[in-house]
Amino acid sequence: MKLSRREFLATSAAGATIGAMGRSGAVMAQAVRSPRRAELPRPRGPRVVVVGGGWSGLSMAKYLKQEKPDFDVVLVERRAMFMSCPMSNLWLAGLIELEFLVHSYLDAARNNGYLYLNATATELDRHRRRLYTSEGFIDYDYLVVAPGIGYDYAAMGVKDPADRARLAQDYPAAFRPGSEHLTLKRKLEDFDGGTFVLTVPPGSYRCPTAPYERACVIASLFKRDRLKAKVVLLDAHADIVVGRHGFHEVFRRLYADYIEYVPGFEIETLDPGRKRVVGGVGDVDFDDAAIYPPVRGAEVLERFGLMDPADPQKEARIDPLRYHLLGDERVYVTGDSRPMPIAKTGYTANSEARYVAKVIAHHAEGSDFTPWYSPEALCYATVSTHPHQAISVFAHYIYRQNEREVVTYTARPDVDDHWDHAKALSGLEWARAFYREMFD
Amino acid sequence: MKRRTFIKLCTSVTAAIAANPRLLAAAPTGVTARNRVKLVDAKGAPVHPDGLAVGQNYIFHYPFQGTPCFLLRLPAGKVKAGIPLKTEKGEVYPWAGGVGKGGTVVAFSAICTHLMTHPTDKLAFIHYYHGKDSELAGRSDVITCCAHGSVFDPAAGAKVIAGPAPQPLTAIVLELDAKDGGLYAVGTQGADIYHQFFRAFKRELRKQFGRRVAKREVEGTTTLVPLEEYTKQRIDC
Repeated sequence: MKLSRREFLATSAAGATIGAMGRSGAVMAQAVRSPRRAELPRPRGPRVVVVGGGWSGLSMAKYLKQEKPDFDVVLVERRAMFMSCPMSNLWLAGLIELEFLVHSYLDAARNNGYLYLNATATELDRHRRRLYTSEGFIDYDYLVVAPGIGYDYAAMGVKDPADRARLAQDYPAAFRPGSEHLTLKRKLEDFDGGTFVLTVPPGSYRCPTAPYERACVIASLFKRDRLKAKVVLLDAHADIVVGRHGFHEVFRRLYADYIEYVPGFEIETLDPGRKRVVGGVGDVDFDDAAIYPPVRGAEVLERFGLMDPADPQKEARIDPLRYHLLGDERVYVTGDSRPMPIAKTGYTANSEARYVAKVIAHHAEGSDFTPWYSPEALCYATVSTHPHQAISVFAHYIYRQNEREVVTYTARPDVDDHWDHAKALSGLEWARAFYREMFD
Repeated sequence: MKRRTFIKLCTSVTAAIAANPRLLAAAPTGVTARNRVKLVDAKGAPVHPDGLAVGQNYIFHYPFQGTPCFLLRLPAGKVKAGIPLKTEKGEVYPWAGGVGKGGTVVAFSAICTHLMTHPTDKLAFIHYYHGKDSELAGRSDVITCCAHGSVFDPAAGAKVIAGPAPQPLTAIVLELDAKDGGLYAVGTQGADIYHQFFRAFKRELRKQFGRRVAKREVEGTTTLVPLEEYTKQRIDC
């Protein structure tokens, strides 16, 4: 392998970064610096590479192409098949089939005029505008990184890496779709009674209603099967984060014997061997659990140098209105790795993508796109499985600039306390429409 | 374009303009002339504005056999015909408005311009609220889509007043026949989402209407049905 001096230096730097992260730096650096160009058709217009095929990346790829048809859009995604996190609680409850949640990246790409590259993004050279992947490198005009969330077990006080690995494997959070969800479903089917612990992490986490919805769904199954079992929901927040009135009512009226809600529970550490959550106010032993650790921006942000080191949740260092990396208007970060306090949901990701695609299209045409508009989130949360009933939660955001020109976003959640079957049906339509939008 | 289609187009544009002179101004930018189709009731009789109930959702299919529309008789005195509306692509068009006394009889495509939710034979997540509030909208006399919360004002050309929809519902241009006084649909205004719609709903449309039926243009007559008869379940939000 012949390397130019600059490539060699960059390789060393990458090795150092990866090494510092505790990975096998040298080996990875060799692997990621493949000088091979990814096998893609020659771009016919400005090439936009989207890293990550979740709700944000899929929406970005589609809307970029829609906003500016001469964009040559490539979606880089390491998974070979899409699985949806939204609605996955309904699948855990047996209300929908797995086919409802899984979809083809090939369909998404061929129906929306972009290319799908089944590859892992490994390294970024912003100076050369080159993204390295496990399938070769791609030169870009614009890069959108939409990598979703990572789990920060260390921030939950679990110091020993072996314990972190064990927690991730034995008590998966099931908020990154795939095996985590399959395992949780199997656990629920196998559960014969006792205490099932769920946790709500502090700060901003993926899908604000989901942990409460999941508690309801699991309790609903326990109740249906008349199990001597209880869901213990340990919430790092002082109260239910969204849908407060509705969920409190549901807990009280439907699941008084099945859900124990513990607000303000600060986890000091977790002992997976003893099946024990150690908290400031006392310990909780469990028979089984799905531990949702604190959420951070996906690890790839750190590797690509896109992370804000001052951000406690390790999210992206981007302009909160334009979404570009500070100092580089060719690189954008969208979706659940954004640092703004916008709910991490599929809906906001889709809604935001419509806007960010416009920003990038305007930039490519040399004009400035000014009118920021709020992403939206109308969510339906299932509270009962038999019969299937849901509540709805609505949020949008406002943009404020104080005297120091600091930008903040404020969520204004609107809560609907009333639950019924119509909302459950609306929730299914909500999802079907989004899947059609992304894949058909 | 076939010669016959072209002639038909010209004829219907002329007829539409003759029946509604406001269209003259709008025609070059706003109106897509389509088949002139007579609205009929279940017995095949023409539909007259006076026979329609205020606030009732009526469904008919136009301009294609698989594309549902709302026909509404709005309360008097609120209709803002001529109001300028804008498509997502930025095309501005003055809404043609309605027909009948006070122009209160209006029609819109029932396909939400956000993600194309529309009433089917099984479920209706999108419809008009009159005499009761749409909870999501916090008011009545709106068309609300429960899937994602888009709210449209039918008295203002189905302009978006809340939610994620990027453009108004497509307006259906109506006219009253000079001879029988019945309602006719003659064209559309605004967003053209039909191509996208047929692609995204291919399988569902095949199930509801049969193979290749949904894409066929409606010719001659189209039947008007109250929403409650058209769909099994109306979802309110």
